[in-house]
Amino acid sequence: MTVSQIRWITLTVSFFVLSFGGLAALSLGNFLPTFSCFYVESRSGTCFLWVLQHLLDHGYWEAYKSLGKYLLYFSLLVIVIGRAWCGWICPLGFFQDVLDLIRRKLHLGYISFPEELRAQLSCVKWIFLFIALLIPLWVSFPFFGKSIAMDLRQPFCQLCPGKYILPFILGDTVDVAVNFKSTTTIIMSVLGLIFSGVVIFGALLKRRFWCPYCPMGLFLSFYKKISFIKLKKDCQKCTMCGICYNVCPMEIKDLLTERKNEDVTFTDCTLCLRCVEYCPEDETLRATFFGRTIYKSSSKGFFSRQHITSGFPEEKHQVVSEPYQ
Amino acid sequence: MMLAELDNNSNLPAGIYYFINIMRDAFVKNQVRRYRQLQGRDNRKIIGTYCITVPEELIYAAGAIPVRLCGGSYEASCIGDELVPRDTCPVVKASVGFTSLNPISLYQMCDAVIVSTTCDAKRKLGEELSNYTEVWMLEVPHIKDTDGSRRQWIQQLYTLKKNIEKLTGRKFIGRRIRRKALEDSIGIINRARYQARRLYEIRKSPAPVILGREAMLAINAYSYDIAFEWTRAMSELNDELEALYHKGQFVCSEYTPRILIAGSPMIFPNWKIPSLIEEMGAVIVTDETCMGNRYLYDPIGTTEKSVKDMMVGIAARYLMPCVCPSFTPNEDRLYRLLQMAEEFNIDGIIYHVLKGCVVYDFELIRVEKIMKEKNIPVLRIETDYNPEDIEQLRTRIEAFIEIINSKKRKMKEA
Amino acid sequence: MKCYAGIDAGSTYIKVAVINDSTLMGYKIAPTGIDCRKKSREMFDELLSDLSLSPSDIIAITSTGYGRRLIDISNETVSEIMAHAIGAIWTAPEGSKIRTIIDIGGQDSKVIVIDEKWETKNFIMNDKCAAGTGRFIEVLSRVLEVNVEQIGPFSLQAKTPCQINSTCAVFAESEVISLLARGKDRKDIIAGIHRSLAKRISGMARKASFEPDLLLTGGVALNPGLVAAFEDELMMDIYVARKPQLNGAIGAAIIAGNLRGKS
Repeated sequence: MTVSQIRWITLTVSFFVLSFGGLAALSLGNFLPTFSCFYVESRSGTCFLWVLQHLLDHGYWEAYKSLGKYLLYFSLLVIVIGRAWCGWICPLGFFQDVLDLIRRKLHLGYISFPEELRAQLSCVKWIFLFIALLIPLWVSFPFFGKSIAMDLRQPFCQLCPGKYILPFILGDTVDVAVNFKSTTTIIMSVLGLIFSGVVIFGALLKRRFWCPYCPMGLFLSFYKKISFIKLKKDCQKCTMCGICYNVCPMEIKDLLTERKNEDVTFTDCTLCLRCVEYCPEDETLRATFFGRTIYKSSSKGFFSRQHITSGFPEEKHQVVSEPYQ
Repeated sequence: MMLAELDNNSNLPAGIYYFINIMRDAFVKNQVRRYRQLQGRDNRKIIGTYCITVPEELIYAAGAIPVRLCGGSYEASCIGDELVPRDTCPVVKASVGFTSLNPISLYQMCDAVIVSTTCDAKRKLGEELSNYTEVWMLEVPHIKDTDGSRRQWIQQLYTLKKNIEKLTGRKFIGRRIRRKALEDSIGIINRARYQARRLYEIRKSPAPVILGREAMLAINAYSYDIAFEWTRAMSELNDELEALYHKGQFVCSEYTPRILIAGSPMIFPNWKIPSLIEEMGAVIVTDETCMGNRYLYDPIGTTEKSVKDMMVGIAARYLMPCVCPSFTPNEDRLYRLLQMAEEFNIDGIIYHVLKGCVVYDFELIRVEKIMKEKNIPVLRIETDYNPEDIEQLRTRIEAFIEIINSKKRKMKEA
Repeated sequence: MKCYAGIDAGSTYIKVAVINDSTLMGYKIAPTGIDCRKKSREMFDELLSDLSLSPSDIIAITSTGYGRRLIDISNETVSEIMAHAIGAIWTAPEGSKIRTIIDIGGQDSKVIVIDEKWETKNFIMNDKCAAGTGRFIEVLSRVLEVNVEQIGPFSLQAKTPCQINSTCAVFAESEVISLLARGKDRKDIIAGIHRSLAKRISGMARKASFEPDLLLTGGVALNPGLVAAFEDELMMDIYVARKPQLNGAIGAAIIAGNLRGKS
């Protein structure tokens, strides 16, 4: 079984557990470092970003205290597997991968943004993170624009494509509409719906379209230095063939160009390990957990996964010749 | 002649004769048979290529056959001498010489020729060849890792694809390179690469089971063969060599100095350096040239079977891992050499510089520097296809091997 | 008596040396001619009769030089590089600590860097033309109508040495002719030739990262003008080998007798 297949299974299982676990009275807590959306009724745990915004806008000491507790639990979860939460567990990631699979089956190529555009767009996740952190503070201490502030509870959630997409695909359409309560809510929900539409279309055209802009992913990447799970590269063995860059859904170029440091767990890396799976050099890329290698690239593995270690090519496509003595 | 010399060696593995025959048919006799064999029953188009940055997958996918034309013949380089500037490298001289006088049919039978703009000489080669045949230039970006060059290179490949489609397509009903055909051709050549890698893997063994000059010839034969035929023969050779290894039938002992050849390509029939090295009692265990390891090492990896993804994969394969010194910066080549020196347990490097090949000579400075740190001696050999300097070269190579031997002896004593 | 022989079949001269455990017993030097195999055998036989030895006294023969593979009387062949490095054990003057050997032959010249055990560490040879070889001096002395033996003392008498820029023998020849046409003194030109040669070979030596002390071998080392030019160019003392022409042959003989440890 390839790593991609294991990842698919994990993603699928987590999607169902997180989305329907609530029905079986499963409760995984309010501090999950993944988009287990609050707006999904049957969820079994809650996205930490919602909890963060919710507790920040109370303005009480008690709320902050419990936030601190949740942050601690959250941190522990992140330290263990880092951004593998994104690549292996996130329901929105699962949704994007399903759309990606549909695209693949239709043999439509993906698009990739020019590097320059990618660099410019990398600020989007910071904007979202600041929205999630600063606006709740304004909500809790509304020294101006009180009426606007009151409608800005969980501001990022109102914009988040997860809030609209995840309930929608589970058949709950209550939240998938413009909220006409006030001008503020209209703007926020319209923006959110637009983002959702863009993400659905984007994910059909581009691999993991949303993930480079996700503030949760950014939050998780803060732990990359102390996280137990790491992606490592043997820079001398690398032949710069560029396969890792091509197969990377996050299009992380640094992974290819890195020539000095062993640690190549970059900010955007969701640890999907596709680069390791497709690296054709022995032990050039590897994933480590607590310093122990859990998965490494190999030449043999590469060729056997491409189904070319045995047998010979069939003579198809006008490739006909006489046997040669 | 080199082939006769190889034939006389009774210790040759049986699998190598296929490759010797390919060379013999291409250069000595039966050129017409070779021509028919390549064209097959349905008179397929034949496309000549120069340099390893030309993606053969596109040619196979269009139902055509690629033949790599980089010339290695002394006689042809003498003809070319009159047609190109004196300081040009012998590869280009021989290529022009072959094309202009048609001493062998390989060059005649190409319906078109793809020349990539790697070094200066190759860049101008295309213009000279266009006097004799249809030439498509393929512009290679020389700084590899910028986004712009990547996009430009992919664009170049799409243009090339269109050109090939135009050549192979029927009139009125245009035929395009289909997804499935591209997928299959990637598979075909990846299989060839897999077998080439196996050969290199076998050559890592402490006591070699095949001499370098034979292994290099087998890789070189890929230029003039159809990929899957070559793959079949190479697989048989590899099986045989593995069996030899298990039986313990080695061609020389594990104390034989292990040489890595780096630098300008040695193209058959210019086999003087490989033969000299092994005559003087060393063994070539690997090479870092565009006729060897660099030619058939890196595979293409794609995650999906869309034309776009495969084109991106092909583009990356033919540009990124290519460490031809015509690229800059070219640190990657130094890493590659270091890695090879470790993997193949190299005792010394013979750095081959063809006269006029300035870029390789330039990089020697850096190669010498890093190898000095690793305590691996480097011998620079500057030569061309002319056989007259064999005795001078022999002295140098022999002395170099003596140095390695005394070093090894000292290490054994210590 | 245990004797060993070394034959250095160079491009211009064949040198045969016979040694015993401690001394050079006899030698012969003669132009190579066209048949190096026959010539070397003749010389070897003559040398044996001169020394009144029988062929069975010679325990081993090693050949070196360009023609080494043609000499059928030898037991083994070694490259010139190794022969010169080993030959220096015997030919180096007393009290010198040779680390670099500069050998100027008829067809090529080489710089050999050795370690304290006389093992070759690095070497460099000139390209396949006459530049920087004995031939260079030979060709030019012919133009200047000077005997090769005289050329050294002549150059020492120069007052203001000329500049010769070409390292190629053919181009240098025309340069010399134009210097003569300008009425330059022959002695100055000869000194210039020596400088040009020394400069080229010093460049090679620097490229091979040479270490002092330097030993000059090959027939050209007998030319005091060239030694002076080298000393000027490298700014250090140069040792001249005892019997510089025989260095390779002696080295080969030492290798034949495996006498490396005893010096």
